Amino acid sequence: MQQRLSLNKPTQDKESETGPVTFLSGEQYRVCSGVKPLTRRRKKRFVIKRTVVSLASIELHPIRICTKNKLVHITNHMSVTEMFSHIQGFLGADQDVREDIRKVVQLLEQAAREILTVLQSVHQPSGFKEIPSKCARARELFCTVKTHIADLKTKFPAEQYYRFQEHWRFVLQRLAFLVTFVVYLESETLVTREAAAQILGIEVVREKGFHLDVEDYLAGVLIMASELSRLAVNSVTAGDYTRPLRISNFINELDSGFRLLNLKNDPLRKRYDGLKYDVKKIEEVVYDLSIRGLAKEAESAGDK
Amino acid sequence: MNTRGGDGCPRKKADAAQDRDAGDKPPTPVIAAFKVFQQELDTKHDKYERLVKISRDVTIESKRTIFLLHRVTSVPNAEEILNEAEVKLDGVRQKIGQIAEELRGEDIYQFHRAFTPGIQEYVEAVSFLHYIRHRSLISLEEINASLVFMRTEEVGAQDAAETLLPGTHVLTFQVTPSDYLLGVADLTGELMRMCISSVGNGDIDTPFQLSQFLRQIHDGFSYIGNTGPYEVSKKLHTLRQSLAKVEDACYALRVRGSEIPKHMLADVFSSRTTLIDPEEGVV
Repeated sequence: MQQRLSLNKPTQDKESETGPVTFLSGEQYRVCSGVKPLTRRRKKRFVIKRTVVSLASIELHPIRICTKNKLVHITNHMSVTEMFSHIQGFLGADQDVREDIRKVVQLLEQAAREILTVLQSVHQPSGFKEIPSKCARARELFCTVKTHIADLKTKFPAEQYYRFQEHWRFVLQRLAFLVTFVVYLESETLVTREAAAQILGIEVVREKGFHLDVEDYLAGVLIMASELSRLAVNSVTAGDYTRPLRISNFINELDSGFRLLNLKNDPLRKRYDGLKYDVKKIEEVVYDLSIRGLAKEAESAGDK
Repeated sequence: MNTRGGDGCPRKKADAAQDRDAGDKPPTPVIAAFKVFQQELDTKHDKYERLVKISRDVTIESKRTIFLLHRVTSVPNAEEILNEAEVKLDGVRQKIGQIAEELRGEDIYQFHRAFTPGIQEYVEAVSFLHYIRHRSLISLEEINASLVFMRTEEVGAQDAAETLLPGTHVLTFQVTPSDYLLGVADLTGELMRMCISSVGNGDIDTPFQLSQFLRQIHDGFSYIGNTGPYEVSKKLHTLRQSLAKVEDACYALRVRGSEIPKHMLADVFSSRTTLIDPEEGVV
């Protein structure tokens, strides 16, 4: 596609070219920009040469273009209509990218639901004994998640993660919760952000690529806290009287950790506000057990 | 073991003991991890706040430039005002350079909401000045071309002119297409005000020019429809009202203009505009 850009008045350099210049798509050109220095006292112009790879990117960069080492000054003579049509090009391309992302996110959400179904069953009385096998099954399903995320990464430029973040934020938080929950069920510890990212096949640091934002990781941890308060209740019903105590210690440590954070009035803060209800619920379970001496009974039964 | 259900003194003692212990013992891995999260979040929030502050300065100075530019119609020496406005906008560009500096190495979209209001206001101001001077719409490329900043290291680097020096680097700020659109949408409101006030000053050419220009912009926005950011759809509504006011003004000029002496034209429009939009209020 050839595009004609008409020229304006020539630059102060003797080598400037006047007349129409034809730019060919896919050709390389040198782009020179006349830039005013920050201090107005100095009227000199700095010239920076950069090579532009495609015609499309010329439109976004400064207005002087060198062809064959000649400086050429170009201004935009598009009409209002052409300008809007040009902008519409950007918007349309953006919409296409988002559509692609949405499709992959749907698959991710499906995979997350499958993992959740597997893990939900630990709340059943029979489920407690099967915890190790369920965790193993969940880990298998995380491989599917890894595949989908690898696919997701290809749908947009890596450096624009935050531009499209809202599309996957919800599912990524759920996945962070599921990872955290699985690791808790396996080892009763808090999975580190690094380990969680590794299970999902993503990075921790933004510069390295598609990453697990610290806020999304923390949101996942808080979702798990709610799940644990439910687990405490159900483990008592299922006859396990020692688990709630361990959950209580764990949750209290989480609470201390979260107290260290200076949160702003954002969704994470609101989610954190729910943590105290989980803490309270678990404390009540522990209290119910201890005044009836049930916890001590179970401990001594275990010792025998 | 860990029965926290006590009340009164026993509980206080237990808590105090816990606090003492926490001070003596090394932090658990969980606590250590959260301390790292605290730092990360604080750094991010601080940067966000700095950007919000700069953006507010940009907004205020751009708004002042717009008010200044409105005086062009009522003052004989327009060129002076335009030059003053240019100086003000250079100051705003310096501020945008600070934004670019803060965003160096960052993903701009992580902080976009912090500075988008200021940038939209800047687009409004700069496109207003451009219209007054050239009677055309400034393009996104032209706006971005003037947002290129040189950062030089101190030591006499400024003396060499034409070559790229080690220790100098270029910082750019790119206005996004969506911020450009939103700024232009706000511009139409200012153009409508300019139209009404220029009629009040006896200028009967500007309204017709403006009417045509506004119509083109309106048609452009209609073409974009709702494929743009959702705020555009809201602003489209205001744009239609502005366009209607301008078109009514032109109609009145055309039909009644020849009958009414110039000095009474202002009265005609002040009564019409108050009829049209009572809640418009003071500019």
